[in-house]
Amino acid sequence: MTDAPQPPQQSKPAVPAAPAAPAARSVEEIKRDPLVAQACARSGDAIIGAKEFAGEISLTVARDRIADVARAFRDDGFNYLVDLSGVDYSKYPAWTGERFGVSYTLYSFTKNNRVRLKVTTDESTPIPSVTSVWKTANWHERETFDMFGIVFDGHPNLERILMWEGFNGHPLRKDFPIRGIDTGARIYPEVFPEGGGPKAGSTGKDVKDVNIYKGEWKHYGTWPVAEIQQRAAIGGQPPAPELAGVVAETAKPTEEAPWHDPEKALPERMELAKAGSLKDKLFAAMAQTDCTACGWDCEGYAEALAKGETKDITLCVPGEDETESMLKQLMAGAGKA
Amino acid sequence: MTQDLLLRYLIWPLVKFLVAFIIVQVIVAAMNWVERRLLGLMQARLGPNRVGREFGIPWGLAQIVADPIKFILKEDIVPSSSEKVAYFLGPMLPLIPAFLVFCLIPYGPPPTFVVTHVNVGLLLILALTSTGVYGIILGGWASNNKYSLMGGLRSAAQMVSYEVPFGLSIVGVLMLCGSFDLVHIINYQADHIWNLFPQLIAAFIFLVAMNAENNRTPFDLPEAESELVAGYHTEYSAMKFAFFMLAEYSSMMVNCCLMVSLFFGGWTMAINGYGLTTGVLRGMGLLGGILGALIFITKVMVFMLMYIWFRATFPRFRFDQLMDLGWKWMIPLALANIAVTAIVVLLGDQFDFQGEVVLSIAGAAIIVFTLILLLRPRAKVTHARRVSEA
Amino acid sequence: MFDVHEMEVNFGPQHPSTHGVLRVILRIDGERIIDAKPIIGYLHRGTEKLFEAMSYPMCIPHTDRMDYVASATNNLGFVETVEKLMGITKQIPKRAQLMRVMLSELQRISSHLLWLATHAIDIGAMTPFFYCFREREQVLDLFEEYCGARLTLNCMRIGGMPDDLPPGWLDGVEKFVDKFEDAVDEYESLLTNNRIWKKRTVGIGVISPEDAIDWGITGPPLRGSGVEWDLRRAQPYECYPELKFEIPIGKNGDTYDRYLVRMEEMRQSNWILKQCIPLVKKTPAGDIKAKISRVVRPPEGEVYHSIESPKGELGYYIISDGKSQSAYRCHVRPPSFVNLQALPAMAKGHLVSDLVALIGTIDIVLGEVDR
Repeated sequence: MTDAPQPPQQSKPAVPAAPAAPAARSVEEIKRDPLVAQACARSGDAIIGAKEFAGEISLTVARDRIADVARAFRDDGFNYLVDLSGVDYSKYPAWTGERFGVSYTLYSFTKNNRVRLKVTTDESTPIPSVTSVWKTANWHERETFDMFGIVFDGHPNLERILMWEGFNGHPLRKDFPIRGIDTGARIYPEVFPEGGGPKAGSTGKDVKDVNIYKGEWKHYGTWPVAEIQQRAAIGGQPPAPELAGVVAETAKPTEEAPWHDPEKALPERMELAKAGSLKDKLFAAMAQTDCTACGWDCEGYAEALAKGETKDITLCVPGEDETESMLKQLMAGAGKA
Repeated sequence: MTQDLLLRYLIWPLVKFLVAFIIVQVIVAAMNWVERRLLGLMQARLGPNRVGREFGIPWGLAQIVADPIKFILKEDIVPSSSEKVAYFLGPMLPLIPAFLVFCLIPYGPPPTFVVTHVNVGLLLILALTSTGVYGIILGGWASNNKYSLMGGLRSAAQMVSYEVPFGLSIVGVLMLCGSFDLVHIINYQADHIWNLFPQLIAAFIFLVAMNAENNRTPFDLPEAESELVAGYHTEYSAMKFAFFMLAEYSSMMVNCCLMVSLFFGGWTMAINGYGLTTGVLRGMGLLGGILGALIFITKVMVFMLMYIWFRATFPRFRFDQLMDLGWKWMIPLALANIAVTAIVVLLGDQFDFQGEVVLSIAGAAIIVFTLILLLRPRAKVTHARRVSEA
Repeated sequence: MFDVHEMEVNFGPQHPSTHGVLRVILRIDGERIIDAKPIIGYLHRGTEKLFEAMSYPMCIPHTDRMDYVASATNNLGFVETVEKLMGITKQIPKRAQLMRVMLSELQRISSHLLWLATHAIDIGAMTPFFYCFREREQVLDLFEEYCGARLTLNCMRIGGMPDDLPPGWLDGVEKFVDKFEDAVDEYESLLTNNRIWKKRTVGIGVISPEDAIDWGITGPPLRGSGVEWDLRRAQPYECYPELKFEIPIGKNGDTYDRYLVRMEEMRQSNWILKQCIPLVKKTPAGDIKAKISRVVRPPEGEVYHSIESPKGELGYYIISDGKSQSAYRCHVRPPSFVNLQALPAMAKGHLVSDLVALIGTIDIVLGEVDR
């Protein structure tokens, strides 16, 4: 096999994923970017905003004009609709715009680059469909409709795709419970009432088609009682492995513990705690997230180790093997291992 | 006198049929194991090698017994919406003719090893085996399942289509031997040469058509598991399913017997009257008879193994392609073969030369040519270029 | 004059050749397909919803479960997208990059082997199935040696790799790579020039380059239509720019060309692996993680990043609100989902038997289609 001739695309390397440039370009500057200039000029005032992040250009488009803008971009070489996805902004911090957003990721084979178009809408206003521009938009739009309830005007066959006909709700909306709703599965008859679930011949139009469970979910499975009692005896809370990885509000550097900062790497933290006591060093070796997965906060666990209340050095889940090996080293140094 | 007739026409044939039938059925049952083991060998895996280990039976041979036991003991499920009578008839219809024809096949030198000596034996066998398709159509239709129905229809179309080249390919042999009697055909081959050589084309068509007749790869469309789930026997379970399988393997066996009798000299091992002809074997008494039967069975097994070999090698045809092959290639080829054979034989009669010799030389030449083509060294294709430069 | 008697057949979701739980409602006239309508969603697990409730590192095992026959590439796509979001793409050590490339190329081989096995058995060739699994087993053994898992690997982390290569792993890869070329020859000897195989695949499901792009088809099906586009070359990630490989393309855009393309891709992946082994040996052992914070909390922003998975362009679209440790929204662009969309267009006018070949040639994994 010989060295392959480089295809023409190779001449333009990919845009490196750099953090946003220090001097962010203005909307007008982005619109003049050679990548999108021509299509933007053709779309005129339909493009109402522009943003750049990690080398990717996002253009906000007026909702009613999206099909025209899409066509302008397609004619400008963006003939491949990579992706179309919806977003529910209702829980987005400090969000003031309309509830839903739809992102269209376009790709141009000649320019070898991607552009994102964005529109926003509320619960009831439909968005013009782009199925007439790209055939591939068909299933993407159906999925977005299924998951968010965003209606696309002019779609040839806008019906549910992943959920079944008659499913009540749109799962990716932020107010849809992550545990799901009762779908009528008769796995736990004592939890779910009789008659739940979609019925034969249901059209999904009638709310009564699907029985939504509104009560409390029972907790199945038990805690290891002996372990909980043992831990309670030495002062910690019961372990909660599902908490691992969450950063508590208390995880901030303080005067006496400058290393208590989850953003810092381990060597840096150890450097800060170099002069401290064994407890401080142990403290600095923790993941600093105060996630309480081990049963204490980070300081409490370090103290418990230093006082010999526990000898288990494997409890720090977010710290992974890095923390564990450092703890082992420290405990061995103190002669407690 | 009556006693003598009874003995001659009823008791002895019945005993001989039973013996032959049992031996053949044991082989059929064993074929299942052989097929699985051989396929395993070809496909880099083991195949059934466990059953019977506790009783000191090697190589999983007890699988031969275990399979029927399983079939008998399994629950027999009848779909509630099936057409009951037809559903029950389905598995039986192919089985009866497949079993019956075993009394028409000469397994060794006559009279001892021939169950019934019928002078139109070949015709009777063809007539009986072609009724097997009714059971498959009935079974497919009665199951009340779209896949079964499609499987049954495919099977019907396929079997009817390939019945034609199947029958036509035999005509050449009949022209050379001048008889429908299988014993006569076999003796004729021992005195001249295996019909394979003068009737090479016919033998090839027969081989293809018998694969298609039995729904075996590459013509296993009626039961194509990746398309029709299991075709006409999707809804059959337990012993009913086993009946279909038994019928399939039995008719495979019948077709192999025919192949050997028609083209490969049956129980004889002779050319131009030299070697183990029927006369020589008869002269050796019972031992000769057994030797003849062994030769016959060995030849049959070679073709049974060929079925398995095909199964491991070929992908499946598509339905329209199968029909194309049957109607556009096999039937014209068979007709051409008949025409050529007829002309050469007639010319031989007219101008006083042996037409058969001419045909044999042509057949042998084709075989040699094919072998050279197959075994010639081929340049290794560089695959990368093939796609990139396309 | 002639009344067409149509029949409606449910092809799947329980059917031997729908590769999982795909259901196709067929309207057929005899055996000819008038209309095919794929119904999906039987394997929908709400992965995207789960992503919103988990911190970024916790998402990685869930990506395994999407395309479960090619989990390493799923991992790669996700961690690269998060790295792009955090702006640390350039900090990944060389050794980790090479390991990622090696794992994803091994995964490509194993995924293509599974594809070939099932595609061949769908068309009725039984033996390649077992041959492919023989080699796939060796690849899975290599995965097991590296990360302990054979199928759902969870073998990449944001910022690097979880563990260094175990001793002797590279020798194992070398042994496999040396033999694999012959194994591909073996499969090809059974299929490539087989008359029946050609009859079943040539001219089936033809899709033109323009249509392919319009349908958003990527990966081998796109290249089978003659578009020389591979994300490893077009938008290189990791250390692909340093590696030599060819992009095989087809001419006719039919099932046979897609078959040839995938067969050739296996050889190319093998070649990439061969180049990687000496390069990995040159890098310092243990240098597999970038020096980044334990806590993954990317800045506010949104990125789309995609890689060339065995089935096509696998993209992740992540929106981060800059405050929490989990994605505000993480959308997956699965290649199978998009490629499957073209099935009705490809199947129209063909026979039921061809539908089986078409489902095989698109190479879908329902875990990825439904997520």
